Amino acid sequence: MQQNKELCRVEHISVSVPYVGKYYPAVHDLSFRMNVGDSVGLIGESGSGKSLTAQAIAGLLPEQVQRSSGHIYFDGIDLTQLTEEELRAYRGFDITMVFQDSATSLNPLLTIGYQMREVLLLHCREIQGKAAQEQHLIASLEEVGLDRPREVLQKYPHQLSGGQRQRVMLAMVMLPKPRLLLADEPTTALDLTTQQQILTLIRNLQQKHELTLLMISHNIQVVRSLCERTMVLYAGQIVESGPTNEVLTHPMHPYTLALLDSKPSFQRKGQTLEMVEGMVPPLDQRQVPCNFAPRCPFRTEVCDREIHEFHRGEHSVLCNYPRSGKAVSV
Amino acid sequence: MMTTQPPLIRLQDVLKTYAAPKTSLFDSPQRFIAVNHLDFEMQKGEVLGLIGESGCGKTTTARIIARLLKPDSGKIFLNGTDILPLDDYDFRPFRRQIQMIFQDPQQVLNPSLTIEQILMEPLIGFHILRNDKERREFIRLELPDVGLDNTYLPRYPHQLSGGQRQRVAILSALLVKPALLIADEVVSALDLSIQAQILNLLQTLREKHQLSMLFISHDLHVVSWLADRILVMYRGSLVEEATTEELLRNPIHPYTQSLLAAADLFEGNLPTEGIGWGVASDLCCPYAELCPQSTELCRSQRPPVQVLANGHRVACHCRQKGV
Amino acid sequence: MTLFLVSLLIFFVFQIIPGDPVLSRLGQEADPALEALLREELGLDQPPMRRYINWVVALSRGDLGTSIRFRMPVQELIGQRLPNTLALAIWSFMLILVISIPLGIWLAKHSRGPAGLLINGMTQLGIAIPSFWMAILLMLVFGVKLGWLPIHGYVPWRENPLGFIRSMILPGLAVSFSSIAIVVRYLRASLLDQMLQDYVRTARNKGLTENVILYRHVLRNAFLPVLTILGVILVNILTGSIVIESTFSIPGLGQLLQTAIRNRDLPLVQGITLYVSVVVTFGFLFVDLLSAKIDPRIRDKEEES
Repeated sequence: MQQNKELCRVEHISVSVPYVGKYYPAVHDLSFRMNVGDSVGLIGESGSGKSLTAQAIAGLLPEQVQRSSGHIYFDGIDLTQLTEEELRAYRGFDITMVFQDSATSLNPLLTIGYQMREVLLLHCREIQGKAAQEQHLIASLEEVGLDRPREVLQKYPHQLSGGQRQRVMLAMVMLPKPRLLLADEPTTALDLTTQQQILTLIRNLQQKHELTLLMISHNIQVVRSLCERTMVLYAGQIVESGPTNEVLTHPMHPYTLALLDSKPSFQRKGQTLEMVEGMVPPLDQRQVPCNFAPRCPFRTEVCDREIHEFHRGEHSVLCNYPRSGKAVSV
Repeated sequence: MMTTQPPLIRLQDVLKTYAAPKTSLFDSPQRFIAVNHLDFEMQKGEVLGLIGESGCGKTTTARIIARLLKPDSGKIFLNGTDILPLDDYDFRPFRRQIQMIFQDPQQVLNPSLTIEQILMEPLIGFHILRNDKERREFIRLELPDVGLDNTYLPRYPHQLSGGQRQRVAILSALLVKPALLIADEVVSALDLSIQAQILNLLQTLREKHQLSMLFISHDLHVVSWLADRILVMYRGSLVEEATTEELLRNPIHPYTQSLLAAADLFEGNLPTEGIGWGVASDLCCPYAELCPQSTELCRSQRPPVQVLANGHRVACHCRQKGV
Repeated sequence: MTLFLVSLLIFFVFQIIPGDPVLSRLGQEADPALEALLREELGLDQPPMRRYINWVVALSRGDLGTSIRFRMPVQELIGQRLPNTLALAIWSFMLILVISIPLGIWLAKHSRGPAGLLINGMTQLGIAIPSFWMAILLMLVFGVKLGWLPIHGYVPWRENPLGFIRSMILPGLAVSFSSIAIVVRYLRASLLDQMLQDYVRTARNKGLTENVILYRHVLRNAFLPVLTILGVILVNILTGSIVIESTFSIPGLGQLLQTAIRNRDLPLVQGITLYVSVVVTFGFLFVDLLSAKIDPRIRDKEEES
């Protein structure tokens, strides 16, 4: 955090989604802030609401999903108060998103060049003329490490490999030089080595362009390697947040602890993996104040009534009985 | 491992090629070699981890063993019998011996059948037990083994969570008491906490039934947690094979070394440029292009597989020269 | 291959169904000598297999044989009627495209509104209503009650272009009505399905407007599945026009086919079916080519094999 200028602040956001005929909050009263140049990791399992959070910030929530309350400030402006048309000026220009599945996230019937040029024509009007535009696209493909960029422009998505497509996606969203990048599991579908290359690429882009990054992943290592700060999301609530080093080596929330303990490794070869039984509760069975209570080994009747937030420096945890924060070896 | 009885499964010089797909930038008229003269064996009661990136031929290998694909050449011995020349009729008694489970049970479990019907099918198909009544009882007896109970039987696959579906798939494979279970990326699609539950389950079942398992994954952490031995594949070729402990302590092949480094994500130094596409060949080391130590020899001759101490096998020219 | 199978099938169905072309021409009480003479003349005295081979041999020379009923070459008979049927078919096809594509798009956009539900319900009816009943309904309303359009007869294009168009409106509507309903429903479902795809989210993320996303990204993708049913629609139109032609007394192939079947006029039936099969086969071929044109994935797959 070189600069402490705030870029984006999320205040008490709730997102409701339909589930067996009724609306339930999948993201519940979420608040956090990101400064310019920050890289923040959002860890959560499926059903934790991590994608919805990103989509809410980008204004890309699916039609049937409701954002029921809360405010999203970007650069001091409350995005939730803007009309669809005003919001469109931010989307893809200041705030942009990359998605998990590069195979389906690009239109299969249009060439890479066409899909990239679309962004250029919409957001980079200062670049005039076919030749100049072409040059710009080629430069951006080179920046993300693609060989033979001129050929790539002529290709259709299915003619590229997964890693190449994800590079194309990054090149495309980076064209207008956005300020906030929301990366929703961008490497999950990729091979280990490709995954690492894409992560390196994201880090390089981030440093080069002063990008603010929200990295969403279920993979602890991805967040550990890329993010200064980490938030752990469970069933729509941020249960723990703080500097990545603190959160992932001295976790205070029982869930974070269990998550770290459940990672199989050679060091624990054959030993039963510590994991709380059960799974993330379905939407209609969530019980505020603490959604983790049903699986929590430390639950008492207090947890059914109220929940407290504990702070230790920048490290905060949403739990009545935070763990000591003893070191975890992973 | 010296045993008097034949290995449970032995692959000998198995080759499988496809017409090269035109998905890459550099179209090549050659045939794509999916599995390149692969040799390995597995003993009874052993868990062999097969690791490599997508496209390295690990799934193709699994499918060849399960007879879902036919190799171009080579031999596969199951308990000493060469099963490839058998026709479908003669293979019938062997089919039950090899069961496979997959990454996404949602696509494998028939959505229009209840869990009970799904579990009945293998029993009926292989004529196990005398009648349906006995089979139903048997299923109810076995359900707790995978952490499920009777209440799941009348449900349909879509009413179950991903982890529960995987449990059903595992049970349906184990009901027929196979000699070999092939698990292809079975925990890859699951969340960490569910993954831990399924891994714990596999470990328990393995101890209980002395299960022999070919465990395929791209996740080195998972494989090293579960497997006795690990076989590393790259572009259809075996690059290294050793006991898990040996492989992690003393990786010899540069590719294995880079995989170990990548498993810790940024902590190791990895060649930054991509795992290229291209066509595996008999004329060079598959890893020659990316290998930091590659020499002229690597680019002109395919390294033979050498057997070192403790059954550690590696295919690398550098090793041969004693580098 | 398809054509061969069709001709074989027709031939043998005609061997099985009751009725005799000779008797239907001469009447039940015909003189046996006359009957035998006619049989010989028509080649009907030979065994069925022999007759089929004769027919195929003649076909390879481009000869479809002579109609029993009309005593004219089959080619000539078809040649007279074909333009009328083709005109009706092409006209119906255009109606389908022009009406159902915009309607499908509109419906996809307003699928939740009351108007959307109403039209959706109407398309359901459209599929259910048989085309001849629709024809009668149209005749009643526009022809008899309102008197706007002719309900009968056919005006050749060369004689009176305006009259031709007027005479074609109602038959065209009757033929295409159910197809329109099918295409509208299909297109709507396909559009709604495509709107949920990931690439649409990517397009939104770019900041594109909903209309641009719909017309530039979604429509092409949504049209692919619709394209595959267009072949079926073609068959729909051809079978529909057989019924409709007689309702509106248009002298086309459909009418001719009915006459031919009634008289057990095998050569004529064979000839007509052959023509229709050719049209349908080419229709499907065209659909395949068009899909490959739109979808690069299909193109690549074809190149590979």
